Amino acid sequence: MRRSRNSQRRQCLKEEEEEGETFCVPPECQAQNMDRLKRKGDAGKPPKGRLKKLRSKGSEEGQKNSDNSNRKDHVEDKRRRANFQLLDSRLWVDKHAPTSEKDLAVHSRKVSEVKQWIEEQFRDPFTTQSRVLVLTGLAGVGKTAVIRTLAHSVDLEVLEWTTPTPTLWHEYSHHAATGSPYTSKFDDFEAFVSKARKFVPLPSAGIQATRQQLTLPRFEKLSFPKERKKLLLIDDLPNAHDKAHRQRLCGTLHALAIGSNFPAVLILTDEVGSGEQRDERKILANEIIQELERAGAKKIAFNPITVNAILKVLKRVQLIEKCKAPLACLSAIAEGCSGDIRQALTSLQFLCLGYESSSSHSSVWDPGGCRDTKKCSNKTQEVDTESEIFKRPTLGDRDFSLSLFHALGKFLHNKRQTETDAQVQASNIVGLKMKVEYCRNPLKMAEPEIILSQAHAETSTVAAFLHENFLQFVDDEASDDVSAISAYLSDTDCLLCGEGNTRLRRGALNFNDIEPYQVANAAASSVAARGVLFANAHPAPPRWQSLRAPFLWQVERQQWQKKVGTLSQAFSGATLVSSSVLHTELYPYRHRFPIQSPFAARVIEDHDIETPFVDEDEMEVDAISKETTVSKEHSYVAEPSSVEMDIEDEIEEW
Amino acid sequence: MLWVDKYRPHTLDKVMVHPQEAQHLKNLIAQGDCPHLLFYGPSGAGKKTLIMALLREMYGPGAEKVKVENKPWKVEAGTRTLEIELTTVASNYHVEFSPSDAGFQDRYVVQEIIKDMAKSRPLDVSGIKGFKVLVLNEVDKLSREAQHSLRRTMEKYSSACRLILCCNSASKVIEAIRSRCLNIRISAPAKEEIVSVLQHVAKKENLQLPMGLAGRIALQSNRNLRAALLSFEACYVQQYPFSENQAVQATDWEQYVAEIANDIVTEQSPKRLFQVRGKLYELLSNCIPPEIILKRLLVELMRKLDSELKREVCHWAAHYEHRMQLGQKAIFHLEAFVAKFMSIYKRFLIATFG
Repeated sequence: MRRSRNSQRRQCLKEEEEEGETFCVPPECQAQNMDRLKRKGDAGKPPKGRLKKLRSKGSEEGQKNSDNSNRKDHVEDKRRRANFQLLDSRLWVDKHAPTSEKDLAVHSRKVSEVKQWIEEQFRDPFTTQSRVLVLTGLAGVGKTAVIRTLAHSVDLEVLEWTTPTPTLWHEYSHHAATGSPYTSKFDDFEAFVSKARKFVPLPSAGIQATRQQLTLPRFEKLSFPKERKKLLLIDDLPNAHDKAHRQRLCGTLHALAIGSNFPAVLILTDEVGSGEQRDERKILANEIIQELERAGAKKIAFNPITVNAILKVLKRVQLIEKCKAPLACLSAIAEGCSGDIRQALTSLQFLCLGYESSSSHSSVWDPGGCRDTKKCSNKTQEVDTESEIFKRPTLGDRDFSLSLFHALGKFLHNKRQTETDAQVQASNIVGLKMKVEYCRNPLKMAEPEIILSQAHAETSTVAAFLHENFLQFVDDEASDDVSAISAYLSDTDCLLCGEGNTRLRRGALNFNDIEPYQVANAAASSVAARGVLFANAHPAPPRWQSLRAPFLWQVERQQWQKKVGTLSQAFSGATLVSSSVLHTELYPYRHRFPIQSPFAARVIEDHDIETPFVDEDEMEVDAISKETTVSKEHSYVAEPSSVEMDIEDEIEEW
Repeated sequence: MLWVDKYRPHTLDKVMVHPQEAQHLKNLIAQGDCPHLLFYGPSGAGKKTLIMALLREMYGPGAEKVKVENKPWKVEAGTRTLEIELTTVASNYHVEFSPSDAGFQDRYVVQEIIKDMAKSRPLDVSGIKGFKVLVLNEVDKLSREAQHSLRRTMEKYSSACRLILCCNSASKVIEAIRSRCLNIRISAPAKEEIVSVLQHVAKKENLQLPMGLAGRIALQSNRNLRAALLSFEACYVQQYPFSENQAVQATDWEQYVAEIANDIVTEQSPKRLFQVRGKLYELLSNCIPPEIILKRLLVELMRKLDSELKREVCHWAAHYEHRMQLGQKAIFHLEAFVAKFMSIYKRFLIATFG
């Protein structure tokens, strides 16, 4: 029975393939059918006749189609083989790497900046200026591609430092007998850079010509050793774990920046996300950038590639590859990859693979992505906004990370859909009608919780920033809104300090995975963000706004300092007074009186009295500690007092 | 020396404001022992005066020879060693300190430091072990954990020491502690009592204090004897001989709060709220407690309000005062109250004047 079912399934699949590229029966539907059949079969209840009929029907059809399907199989095989060859040969990322300047998806301003730098380098070969360029940016924003393409267009030879593979211990012990010594990869790099600094480089150990170079026929390279201009590319730095190594690395690069004979490009990839490792890399990258800038190197920072640019590239590639992924899928990929074009291309390749080949193929590989493909293919024409939101391929989405300021900017600017859009939306929604004053247009952004988890920020920080800045984003007449927002922030504070929400357990939240003890915390940040979004019903007209760091922190610090600083004066008569009494009653009056002595005078005169304390040691300690004036270090976080950032501009560039 | 300190009664017999309580205390310790005590009552009512007089009654003038110390304590807390700095005022017979000064580390103060202090007992000349008295201030500001620790400490060392606890509000002290102490409520002195104390001081200083001025000082002090004496002295510094209608100046922070109230009433807008926030920050960074700011602000606003709005405004003030106790960032709640007031007041103005 099982075999028959399998054969039936195969038959179904074949039929499907015959029908062409569309999927008339989604695989999960099939699976359901099979399940139903199986359940019935197991229970023994179902009319056997029907089952038989089905089976027989299947086999009949099979016979009918057998000759037909043989031919089809052949074609199919050929196509699949072709596919595999394609797979084997190269990834699309490499295959469709940009070859000319206009292919680049990077913003043209950045490209021209880099181009200008390269041209400058060769206009004056004896310049005393630093000949190092530092490119920074997230992974996959086309840093290397820009250099390669531009070098190609002006006929430069790109020499790249390729990090040697690490030596394994058993390799080392194997080679130790032959006398080849072990060299640290770090030393290798140092030696390479110092050589590169002194001599005009030749392609040799440690340096490999780039791929464009390799694709040239070998004889050509040998027979025409014409003097090409050269560019050194350092894409990968050796690991520097501790401070000493970091300093060495910085020193090496500094030397390169000062005295390089030919242009060199250093590519530093920004790290995103959170965690210790990230911090370490960040520190290193910052140190290197500082060091190089001090040496006069130029720095160009690349922004993530815009959705439109990625979409353009995807369309181009799709055209070349002749795959028929629907537009909705493409734009979903472009949005999901968060500006990483490498990711986008790979996702597209993967998706097209599932799309072109048989359904059995894709159902095994990636149910999520494949289901999406089908839905998209069914709805190719009607691309409404809703389907886009719900049917993003889960396939290629990358963890997306926002800066805190970006997230705050989203909350504060409160961008919503305009009236007309909203009306269309509202007409679609059937359900309860809310009072007008509670109705808001849909947000023009992801869910606030998603934004919050992407920003990796602590709730108290978010609340403090929102509190500091929200006033300037509210219309000047809207007192009610301000009151509502303040009320929400007050709620946030209460939630944060509620039961079971202790200090130690705070930290950045991830809304996809909330631990039980974080619930109050999560609720608090949600209330803060949504409160600010909801209650700001009359936003101020959009204009340039700078965000300030919360003044609150400074106040808290001052308060603490003052409190601690005056503790020793907090007594009146022979007793201590509380700080509130001290500051509300004693202090204000005290500086009105001309004589301000009692407190210094009171620090008592009776050292000579015999002490009936049992504990002698304690007395000594007391005496010593009395001498020392204790300076205080506060545990308060030292925050930059004013962090200003141009949010609008940043968003523009994104 | 300030008059407040100079004319503080030193013995239970001379106490002017709460003679009844003083008499009870005297009877209490006549037998040579006393239970743990919990003094509670508003600020400036005379709790500390009574405590000091009590100590003097118990140990003689030696209890008033105190020295102030500001020393760091090392406390082992699990794997870490915390360093907590604490100001203590100690005589040979007692130690006084405020455990809540240690902030969120108050638990360790209660657990470790009190234990440490309670361990060493004073010996008298004949070698008989006596009690050591620990005076703890602001018990109501202790965290819940700290209060529970305090309860255990109290039980464990009750043979070696006596605790005298002092706080403003007994309701913030857990039941377990309250039931282990003799609770003594010290009420705020009546206006007449304050006037009589002021006259007493004036007599000692050889000053002529007009009754009208004394009355106004007492009124302004809000039944707080300490504040009354301080402002009396301030009046003396300002102008002597006194005149009947001499102005009693409020403290600078009170004037500042009045200014804020004025700001709020004259304009209601986000921009104004931002200015108010700056002023509130100014007050907070000068260590004026937020509860007191809110209370004062409400009093100032009430003076300017139509009676129609008073109930609602009071309601919200109470609401946000409660929030402030629950939360940590007082400014959020202070500002929420101000914003709420602005919203209510603006609506009222529009409804009334169109």
